Amino acid sequence: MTGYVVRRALQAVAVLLAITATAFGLFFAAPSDPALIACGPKCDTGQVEAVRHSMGLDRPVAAQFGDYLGGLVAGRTITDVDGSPIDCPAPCLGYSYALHQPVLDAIADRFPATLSLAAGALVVIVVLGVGVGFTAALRRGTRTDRLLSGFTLVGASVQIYFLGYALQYLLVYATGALPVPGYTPFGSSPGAWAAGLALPWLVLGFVNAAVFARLSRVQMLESMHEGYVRTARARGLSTLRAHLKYTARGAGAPLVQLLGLEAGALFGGAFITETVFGIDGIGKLAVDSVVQNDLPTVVGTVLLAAFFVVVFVALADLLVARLDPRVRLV
Amino acid sequence: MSTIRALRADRTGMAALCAVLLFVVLALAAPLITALYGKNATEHYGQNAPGLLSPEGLPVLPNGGISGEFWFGLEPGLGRDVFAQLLYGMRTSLVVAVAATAVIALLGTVLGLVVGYLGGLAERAFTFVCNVLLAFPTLLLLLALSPVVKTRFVDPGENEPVWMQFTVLILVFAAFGWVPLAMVLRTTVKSLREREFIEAARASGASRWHILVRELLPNIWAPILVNVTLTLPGIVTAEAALSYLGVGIDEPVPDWGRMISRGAEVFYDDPTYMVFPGVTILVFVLAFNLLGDAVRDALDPRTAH
Amino acid sequence: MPRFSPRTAAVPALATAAALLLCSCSAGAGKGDGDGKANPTEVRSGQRLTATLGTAKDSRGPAPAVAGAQSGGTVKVANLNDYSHLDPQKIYAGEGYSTSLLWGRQLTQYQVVDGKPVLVGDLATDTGRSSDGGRTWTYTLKDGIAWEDGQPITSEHVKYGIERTFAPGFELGPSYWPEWLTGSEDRSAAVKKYAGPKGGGLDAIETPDAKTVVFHFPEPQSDVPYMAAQSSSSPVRPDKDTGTAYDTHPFATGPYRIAEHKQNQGLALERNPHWKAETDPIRHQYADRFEFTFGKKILNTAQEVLNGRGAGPDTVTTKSEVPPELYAQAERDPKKKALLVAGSRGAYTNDLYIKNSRVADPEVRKAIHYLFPREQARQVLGGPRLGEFATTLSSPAVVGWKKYDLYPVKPSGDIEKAKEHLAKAKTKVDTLTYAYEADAPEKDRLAQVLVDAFGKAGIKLVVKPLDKAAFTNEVFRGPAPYDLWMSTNSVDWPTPATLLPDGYDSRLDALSNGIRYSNPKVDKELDRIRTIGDAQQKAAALIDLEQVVMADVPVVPFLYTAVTQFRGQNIGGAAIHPIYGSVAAADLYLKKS
Repeated sequence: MTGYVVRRALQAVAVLLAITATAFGLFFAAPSDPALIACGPKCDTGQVEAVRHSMGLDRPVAAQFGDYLGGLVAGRTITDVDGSPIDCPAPCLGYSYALHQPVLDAIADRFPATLSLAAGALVVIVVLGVGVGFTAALRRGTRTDRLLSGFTLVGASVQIYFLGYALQYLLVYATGALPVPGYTPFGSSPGAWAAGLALPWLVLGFVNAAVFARLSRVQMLESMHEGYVRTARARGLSTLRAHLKYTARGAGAPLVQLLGLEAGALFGGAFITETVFGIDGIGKLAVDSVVQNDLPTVVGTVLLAAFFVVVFVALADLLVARLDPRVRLV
Repeated sequence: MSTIRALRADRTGMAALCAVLLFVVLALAAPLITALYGKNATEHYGQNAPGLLSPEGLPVLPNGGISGEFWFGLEPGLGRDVFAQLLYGMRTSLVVAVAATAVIALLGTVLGLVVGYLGGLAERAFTFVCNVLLAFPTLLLLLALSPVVKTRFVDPGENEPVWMQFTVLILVFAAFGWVPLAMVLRTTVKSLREREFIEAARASGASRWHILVRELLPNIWAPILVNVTLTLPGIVTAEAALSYLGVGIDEPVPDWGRMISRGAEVFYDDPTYMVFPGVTILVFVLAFNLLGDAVRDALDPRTAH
Repeated sequence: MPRFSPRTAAVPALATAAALLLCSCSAGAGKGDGDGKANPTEVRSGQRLTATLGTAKDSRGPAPAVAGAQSGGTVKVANLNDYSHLDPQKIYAGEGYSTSLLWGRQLTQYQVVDGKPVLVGDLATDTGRSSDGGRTWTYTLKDGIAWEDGQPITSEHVKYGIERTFAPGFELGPSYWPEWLTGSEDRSAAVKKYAGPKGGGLDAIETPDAKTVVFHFPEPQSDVPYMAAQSSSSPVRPDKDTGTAYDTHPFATGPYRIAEHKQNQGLALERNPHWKAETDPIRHQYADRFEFTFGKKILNTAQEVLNGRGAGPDTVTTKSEVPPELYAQAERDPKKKALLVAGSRGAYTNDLYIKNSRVADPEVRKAIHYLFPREQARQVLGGPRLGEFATTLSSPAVVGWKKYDLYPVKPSGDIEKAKEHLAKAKTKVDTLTYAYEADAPEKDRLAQVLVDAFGKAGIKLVVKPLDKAAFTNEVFRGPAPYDLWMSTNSVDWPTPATLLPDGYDSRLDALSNGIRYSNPKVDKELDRIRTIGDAQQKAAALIDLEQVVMADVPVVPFLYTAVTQFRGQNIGGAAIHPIYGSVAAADLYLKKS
């Protein structure tokens, strides 16, 4: 078990390293010049060069990448545009000249919004997806099954931005049933927090629940025919308990893995949902920083998004191993 | 053969197939239809004729300016014909989705087949690349890539050629899209590799090429087909999402995602304009998903009791 | 597996579609332009609002009271982004100038009464006294002016603040002080003579006592009173100069001081107890606090404000305009319309710029002037609320402005006339390139409008969406292969002194004279004007020269730009500052409900 965890961790680090390198390389190919932007349109060539030098942008890409990795592990001191030093403790994701703050701070400021959005949406996804899937499986062939499957299929086919605007029009603008969507910190008002995020949760949950519903339906159907469930029922366990105890357990493994992927993606920022509803989270930060050519923030958010995917997928694998005795860790 | 019979017996599947075919026919016949209809997708009708749009660019007539002349109304601002835009937008979506899916199927098949058969070091490298690609935030990459391509590969005195915009989109979708198919095929091929008929072929001195193409390939077309039916609507959705974020196909090529994004801007004054592209994409993707379901069930009798 | 029938599967889909169609019965804009009446409000941006110079008496505090103003409460300001700079010597934009008045004071400033601006002494007792033909300018500081810790503001602090504009890292701010005080062509030359306060004091600024500042200029300067109102003419106390940290938390001299600034999150201001109303003819201290929040989508803020939900009634924006999504609706509903705050955007104009070195034939430029589809362009950008159509290069807000229309053309353009001029051109033009910042979808649409109009005149317009961050660099520097672009621009202060000399002299570099305009006669006249020390004469000569320049059609005037912002129902005193072009924060108060 320990050996497996160590191997998984090493793999994860290698994957993250490759992603950081790719993001780094890609943005050096971008057409605009961060030094020019930092210096402003009135700078002449000499001043731009001075700024480029103090920002360290005149060094080879490989050396800058080395600095970046070093900062990530041990922290480093970054030079501001005017030559003054900025301390950036580990794990240093660099300093954003566009936002005037360390990238890690910028991310930390926005993370509660993304976390709230992702956590709530995951609850909706699991409750709706698994609920619909299991109900459909238990009542397979009935009208309920068909209606539920149709319902989730619409979810899988609709666009977040279309549904988001449509519901916003109906629920916020036309009827005033919900407040204007947005993020309020949970600490300042739990009511406003939930009310502002209700619509994004629902939309994000509905759109993503379909995959879950379909998978849980199929898994459930399959494990209902597995030997051990039949045995359990033969041993006298009630149908419902047999289902709960064994079927759901057997059906759980692929669901947990899917949940891992989904959670990883959501924690890294839901770009479109955050854009549609105007939630100032990691996704919006990422999109904004690409638009503003804010290299350190772009790399930081890419790394963060990848980090969550890698971590949650690994966690899901471990959980599956504990859940399903048939799975061996190799 | 039993598969086709199963598919033909599936009424939903057949309905979805008909819908998909209808979309394809509409897209192919778009120039003909618009010629008969008498409008094209690029002319600024609302700006060239007075009385159609208000000074702020909103349609003067109610419901998005729907009239006998403009069946689905006018685009706010530029005043283009919505019906013609929708028809041509379908071509954009279909071209990108079909081409990207084809490249994905090809890439995924080749990689899955070869890696599954070879195993060993190739498989380790493959797994690593898959993990990297799966963890990479694709949307961000696409957002960042578009200005790079525009400035590096396009002459400043020229418009970015439409074929280049399409090629870039197709290639990026393909670069990230092949992973699921290749992973499934690898597993399938690994189990097939140990089966008697492959052993027999190997023992009889068949070349690797022969084994891959003649023995293995015919046995994996089912997962490939299932994957294709899943991928295609996914790419239609992703292409529209990119245009919504402002980095898809440029003006003046009609595009559904851009229509929705424009619809979002005028949503409170002219909701009609967003409904047309929104519902069209919904129905289009829904039809593909239903068809995909039907194909999967027909191919995999296990799920169809 | 049980297949659901098409009928049942279609139910949810149809239900969704039906629900959406039900909600989509929109009213339509009505016959707006068809019969030529009942037009939506065109914001008056073409009227004269020129700033006059006030007297020493005008410069005395306190500021004329805002009618009905009440004291107390917290004004909430919701802006999309945080300020990129709060360091007074780095602020260089209208809204930043306006909002920073809350905590910062300058030598002079605009007092606004009933929407009319008058330039008066702020920290100084008047707008400045010149001698020696405009080479020496003297300012005397008022009594009772103090920093937020109660220490008095002295002439040394003013001198130190202006010296900072020479230092490295301050390239972002205006470069007039370095250029004027050292008699240099540009900032780069100036900083070679003096490189900022780290290397000692600047001799050109004399401080004979704690109350007197004397500027010595190598060449006559007529516009010093206006430059003294810019944010870079704010005092800075050397012991409080925290370097880059000063850019997020400056030390206050105005009615408010910064209580807390969380980068990109929020900025809270509290009353500055050491500010005395009787010393300040410009600012008020009505509200107890100002709380700025950043990061919220404008559409969401506007919905809360216009519908009076959540914190909306107490909220105002200083940076954002009414989002296009809500504009028409706000126009229709009188309750919401009352919450719109509209006005001319200072001295800003929006024009189509032509790279004269590439489009060298004046006949071709005239053709562009005639074919330019002003009406259609304004329509895709949002309509009449963007401002009135312009016919002059400078804004009506500029001192001495005269209306002229050298080549009259109807707003929708005149393709026939354009073709006539194209036929007269020496070389045939069949392709032109148009570059624009690809940061908003309406700019893509504007490009399509232009493609359409140029196409009708037989010119293929190549459109180049450029990365916003790279735009200036790509269009101005190096080979810059673009012929046309839209530019929204303002003179640095509302006199003609900076417009032609800093943009239309052929000897300027490509950053200043971006269109590469070149006319030897204009250069010669500019040289003559440069030696005029009298502000009145100089302004008159420049206004006359403007028509000579515009006869060459170096740019095509488009709009005198206007802004439409919004305020909550409890916010009083909201008006667009006539010089800075955004809601004037220092006049705001909270109505008690």
